[in-house]
Amino acid sequence: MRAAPGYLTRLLQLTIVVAWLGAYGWLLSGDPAPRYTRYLNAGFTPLVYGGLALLAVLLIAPLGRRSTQMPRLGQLTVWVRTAVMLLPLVYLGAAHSETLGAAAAGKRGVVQRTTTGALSGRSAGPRAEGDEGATLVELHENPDAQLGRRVETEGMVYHGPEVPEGHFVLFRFAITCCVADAQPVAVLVRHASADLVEIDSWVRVRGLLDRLEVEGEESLRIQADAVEQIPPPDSPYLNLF
Amino acid sequence: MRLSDQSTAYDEAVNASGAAPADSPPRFLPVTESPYEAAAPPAPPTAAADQRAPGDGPGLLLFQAAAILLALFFLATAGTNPDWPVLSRGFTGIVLEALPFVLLGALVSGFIEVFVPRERITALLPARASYTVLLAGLLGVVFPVCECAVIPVVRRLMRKGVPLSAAIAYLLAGPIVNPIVASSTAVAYAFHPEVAKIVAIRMMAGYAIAVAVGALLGELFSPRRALLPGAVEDTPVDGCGCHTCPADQPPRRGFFGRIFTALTAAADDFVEIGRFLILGAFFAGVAQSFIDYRHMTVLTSTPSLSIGLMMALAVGLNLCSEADAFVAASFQNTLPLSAQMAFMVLGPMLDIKLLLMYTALFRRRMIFALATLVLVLVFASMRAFAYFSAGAA
Repeated sequence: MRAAPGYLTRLLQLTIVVAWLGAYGWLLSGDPAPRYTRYLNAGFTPLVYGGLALLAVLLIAPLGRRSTQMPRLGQLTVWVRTAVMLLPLVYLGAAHSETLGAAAAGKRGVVQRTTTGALSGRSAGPRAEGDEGATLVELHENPDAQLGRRVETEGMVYHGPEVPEGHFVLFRFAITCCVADAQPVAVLVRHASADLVEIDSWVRVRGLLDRLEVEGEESLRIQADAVEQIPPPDSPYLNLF
Repeated sequence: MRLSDQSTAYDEAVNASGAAPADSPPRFLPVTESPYEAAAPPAPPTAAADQRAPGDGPGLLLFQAAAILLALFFLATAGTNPDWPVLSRGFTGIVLEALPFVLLGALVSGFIEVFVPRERITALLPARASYTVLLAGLLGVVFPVCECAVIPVVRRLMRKGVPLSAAIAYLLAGPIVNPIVASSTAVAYAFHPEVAKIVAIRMMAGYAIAVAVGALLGELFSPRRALLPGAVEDTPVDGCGCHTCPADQPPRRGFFGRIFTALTAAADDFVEIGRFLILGAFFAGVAQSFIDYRHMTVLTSTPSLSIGLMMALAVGLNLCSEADAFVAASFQNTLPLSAQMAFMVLGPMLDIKLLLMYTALFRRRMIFALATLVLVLVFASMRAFAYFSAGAA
């Protein structure tokens, strides 16, 4: 394999560092919530700033280095390595507006996640800007204190064969570190027009919190008197501690 | 021939640039002829080798190209793939979370390479082999290396007279038992109620298995039977391009010049290591998009199956040790801790990338013995951990 010219290796290395520097800067921006909260726990702000700082330090290397000092690598190797290093940024741009939805929730056992104790002792992390009422994590944190009371919460809609008749599942994904470990947090919702509420839509539900036994397990349920469609929030994920 | 009489081009350059004198720390190891020299006649350079540019082998290039094509395929079919959000989000989330640690590891490695002469490392090791192997397993605490960089470092250590058993212990433990991996593990499990315990278990298991394997292989193999002819030589290492090779990075003069040299080494290592993180995160995202967690109960209720699955994943994903905790932690709500721990302990010791790199140093029989011992010990220890955890619960 022929060696790549030094200027090419240097240019590609510079491209990689600048591209990632720009990506981390972009992730830290955003209003009302920083964009990185669509991928990482909101408590990881220092980590993201740390990445930005380290990339800025590393930028010195390709900027200050002469092309003759670049490592001598095969042409194909250099191009393939660059393509791999930039691949996540392509995905970042293409999939930024995507969120995990009902299909992912179903695969992650969303109906089982309506049971009390589904949080396994975890607690709510930082709330996102714009969250109204109690979050689904907060409902699961201390359900006994809210049983029999009127609650208001938001989430996405799931329908499935395992959902009791006249109900739908209201869920949101909660992340511990990053979206890869996201698990749904959910409640059943009983409503007269449950079947008409569109799957994957975002809704705000108001009603009485109680319990329902499903397949031998006690699930949290809201007997809803109002289900209102809402726009998707900027930060779709809840944070767990 | 005394090793101390030989001075490498790199050491001369380091000394000329004002680095710490190579002979200033007291040496515990007797300076004798290295057993590896007698076993390793230098291979004559070939004309073809002079003209061929170093780089990834055909297998690795093919693997990377296949991953890129697969990623582009998923991107092109995103509109019709219901699992696309899981794949894309899982992939990018793991990379974004782990990349700062890859950056940190590359920077630390670069600075160690420039500012710490290797004689400082060998000077820390006692002469008695049994003590050496115990201490070698802890060397990563003061000289952290990633698994990509450890092989050239181990080659240099053996050239300096470090016994085979100690070299293997450092080879296996160095990428795990170090502050960077400890901190990345702590961050990955930051919100787990037993995060300190998880970090401690990972460090202790990595150390114990590395020392055991090193001691056993040191008894079973002589350097002549373990190493490839000419493997332990002061020649440029092209195996991974990590630029721990002295010939690649002659340091600049002066303090700031050496800092710049460290940064250039770090930049090269960032690309070298970062791509394995990205490849591993991609395949982890693919795996997660296929997994139906409703069918995972058989795995969560059968520790041996879950441990075996995560061990297979560790070998296949080729993650770097600074970042694999984040992938393991992504399974913390679905798989038992013993399975996650198996992933984190095995990955830095044995994966496809490391197996390829081992072929530059060891004979096939040695690689087979090393791989078998590591796999058996990791499985057995994690199975025991699962048993005692269940009992405690």
